[in-house]
Amino acid sequence: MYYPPRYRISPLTTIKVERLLPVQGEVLVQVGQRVAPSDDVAQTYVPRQSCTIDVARALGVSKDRISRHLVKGEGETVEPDEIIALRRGRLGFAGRRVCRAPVGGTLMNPSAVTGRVNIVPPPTLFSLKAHVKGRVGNVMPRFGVVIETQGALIWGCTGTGGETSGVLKMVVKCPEDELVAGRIDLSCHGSIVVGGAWISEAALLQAVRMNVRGIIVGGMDAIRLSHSQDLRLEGDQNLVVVIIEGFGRIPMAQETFDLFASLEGREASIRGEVGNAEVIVPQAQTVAAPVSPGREFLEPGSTVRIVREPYTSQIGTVVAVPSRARPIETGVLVRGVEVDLTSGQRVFVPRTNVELVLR
Amino acid sequence: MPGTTEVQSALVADCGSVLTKVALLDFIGGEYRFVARSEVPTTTTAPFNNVMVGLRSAINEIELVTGRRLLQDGDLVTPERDDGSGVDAFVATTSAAGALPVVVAGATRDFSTAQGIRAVRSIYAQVQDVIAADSTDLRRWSEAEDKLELFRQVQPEAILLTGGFDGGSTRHVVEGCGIIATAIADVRGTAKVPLVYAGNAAARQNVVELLGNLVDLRVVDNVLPAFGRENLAPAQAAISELYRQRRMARLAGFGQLSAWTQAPVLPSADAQGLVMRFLARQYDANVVGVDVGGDATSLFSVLDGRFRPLVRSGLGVGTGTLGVWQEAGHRSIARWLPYELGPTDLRNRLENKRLRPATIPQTREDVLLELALAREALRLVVTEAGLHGVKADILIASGGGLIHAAHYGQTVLVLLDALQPVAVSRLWLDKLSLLPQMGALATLEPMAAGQATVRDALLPLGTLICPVTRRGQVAAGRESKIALRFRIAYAQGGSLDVEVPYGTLEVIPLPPGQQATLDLRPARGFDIGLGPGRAGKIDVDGGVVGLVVDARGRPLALPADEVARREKIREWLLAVGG
Repeated sequence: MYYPPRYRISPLTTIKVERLLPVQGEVLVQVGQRVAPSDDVAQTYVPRQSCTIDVARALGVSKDRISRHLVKGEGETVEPDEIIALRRGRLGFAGRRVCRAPVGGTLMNPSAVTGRVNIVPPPTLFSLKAHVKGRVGNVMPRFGVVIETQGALIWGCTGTGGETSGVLKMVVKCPEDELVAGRIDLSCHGSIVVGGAWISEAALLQAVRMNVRGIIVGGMDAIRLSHSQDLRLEGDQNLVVVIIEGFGRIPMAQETFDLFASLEGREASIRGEVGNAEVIVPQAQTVAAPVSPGREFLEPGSTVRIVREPYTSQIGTVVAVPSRARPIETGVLVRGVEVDLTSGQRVFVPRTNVELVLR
Repeated sequence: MPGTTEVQSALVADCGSVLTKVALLDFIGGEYRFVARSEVPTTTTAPFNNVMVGLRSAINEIELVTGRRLLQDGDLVTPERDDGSGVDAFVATTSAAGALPVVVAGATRDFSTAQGIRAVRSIYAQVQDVIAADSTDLRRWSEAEDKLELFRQVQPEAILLTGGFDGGSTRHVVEGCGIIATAIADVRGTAKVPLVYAGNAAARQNVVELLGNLVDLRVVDNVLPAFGRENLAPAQAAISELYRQRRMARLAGFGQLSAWTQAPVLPSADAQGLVMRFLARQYDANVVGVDVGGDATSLFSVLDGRFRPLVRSGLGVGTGTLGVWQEAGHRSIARWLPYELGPTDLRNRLENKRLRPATIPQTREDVLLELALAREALRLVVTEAGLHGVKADILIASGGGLIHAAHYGQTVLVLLDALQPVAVSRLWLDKLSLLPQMGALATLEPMAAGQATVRDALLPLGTLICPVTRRGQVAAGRESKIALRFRIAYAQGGSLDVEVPYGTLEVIPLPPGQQATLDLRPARGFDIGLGPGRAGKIDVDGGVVGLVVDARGRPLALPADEVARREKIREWLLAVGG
């Protein structure tokens, strides 16, 4: 059986979000507790990068003699700019040289081989946010929690990294529209804006100026992705971009765009991690949401999204899964599927070029 | 008779970085033959996170095609049963474990670290940093400070320390140890980083004293025991062993994969190298094999009996597209396209391929772009190996970057453009992506591997003839000069006289299974491997492309003008079939 890659676009489903600390720490919430995206659910102390200091060079002494000049011993705490080693001059202060700590921390590893020491700064407090509105479904003591919620879930294909939450705001009218600077105004402040096929560099900068928290868009130039990772908002948060379809000018699939449009005005939590980009829009429901769809394989009736030219981002229904390889336009023989597109066109595409749509 | 282990049937698998390929071999009519194969995406990432999911999926597909049951309750049926289900043997190779991050440290950048890098690049490893201790003290230490910072960031899974000739000065090695000791003290966690020492034998005691307590030390023979005397094999073996221990063994599902196999699971590159050596011995020939994969591009040469592998992880046509972009650049990739493609669009397409590496190009533009990428990946590797203008009796092409061409002529053109071979070569294509598996099978059942490789794995593309001048390109304006005249005398009767002008590419059909004798008469100054202007007769075999005469000159020159360049690319594509 062939396991196709998946693409999830669920208007209403049960969502479990795992929130894990980078290193072991303390969980601050209990099972059943209701949480908002900005609530702290766990915290820990994260070690910081140590700093290497070439004491021998700073003092102008041979490497194997630095221990004679250290005024702080291994394991001792030092403050920023504090003298850690000293070479006294022969006549009073003439020729005196000092070596100061560039950062505060613990002095470690004085080496007679290299003439260097390390200063290990104290760990910093890291607070883990809930990220989504929901209920704590499970607590993994010291590691983190699982937040459960119900609502819409849409996967992106990549993003700029980071996560944020805010109110969804549509700023284009159709999936083919490009997100240009003029579409982002003061009304977008603090929100997550949804664009169509592409976002310009000017629009990214405008989003930062308007303090837009996040952007959801069909496509984006790859070269802009790395640039936008450096775009900083108020409070030193980065602008989170979730790309739904891929790189370049790629209109969002109509179905995906329509779902976002139906969710406008609701609070969304977005994550722009490469390989794990997603949009979650919690919804208050009185009926139980489905946990997961049933289909696992490509079979007649499966809904698929095509992810390669010439049909990129089109969603359709599989009508046949031939067991034998067939030629495609380029002449190559491939295993593939016949798909009815929403445009009414029936196409044969390599099975590796489709993703199974899960709802 | 089958081999000594009475293996009558075998299932062979290669779990690649992008695709998992499985093939079924059977003992039919007195020899081992290929029966069926399947190819599915490798499942090392979410949601599957286990290489066995893709492997079972591929085996399922062979079951469907052949009607032969190979799995029972998810386990492999072995040995083969009387009802025809199951197989006697299962072997596997893999390149899905990702590259081993390695730091190479040594005394001199030109000698010891250069050799160290070559030793590391014989397997799926990424040289994260190079620390050379030559040059003046000040410069060395100022450089070392930056390198230490990087050292901390890359957190290597292995270090290769080289330096000095055997019996020479130990000073640089000791200083190199000092740099490493400082960095290790900073990056060390619970486990000790493995360090392979392959330098001056006289410094071994110093290395043990300085680093023995800080690292997991492994001492092997010097990569450069004396000036001009290279000895890479012991260091290569040590790095390969580390790759198996630290990358392959940690591959999700590797335990079960190993439990299924009758021979150790091999890195695909190691296995493919075994096949190249076998072919070189079998045909008593100089063999060059290239493999353009999703994440790595490899080159294996057996020239005058000397085997040299070069594996460049991070250069490929799948997840490795960004590596090619970064090293080759937009212009180098785009120059092979017969259409205009700006840097932004090109980068977008490459990133989309990286995002979904298993996808297959469905438009001509996309096919040509992937082949352009394959050319540049190959060019980078060939340049590093110093094999531009190689003279090989047999050239073998493998990997998804080459076998997914729209037709075989395009594959031949990629090889010609990237390798720029000279003289006469036979061209073969690993059409079924079987070579790594055949290498693994050879460790268990050499006869089965040999027969299946020769009979089924390698598709003859044809014979290549590249007349070249000693002075390189012929001056502009003399391009219509005839470079080669020859008469083809077909074994089945009939003959044909051909003239090939300089600067052109000609393909003369000679189908697979047919032979012909060529009476070659190169023009004055042109060499076909027999000496400048010297004529000769050779027997050639046919192939799916035929007889290819590449008289475009070496090094290959593309017109500087964009329109003329695109026209020239179109002309060459047309010459090989479109």
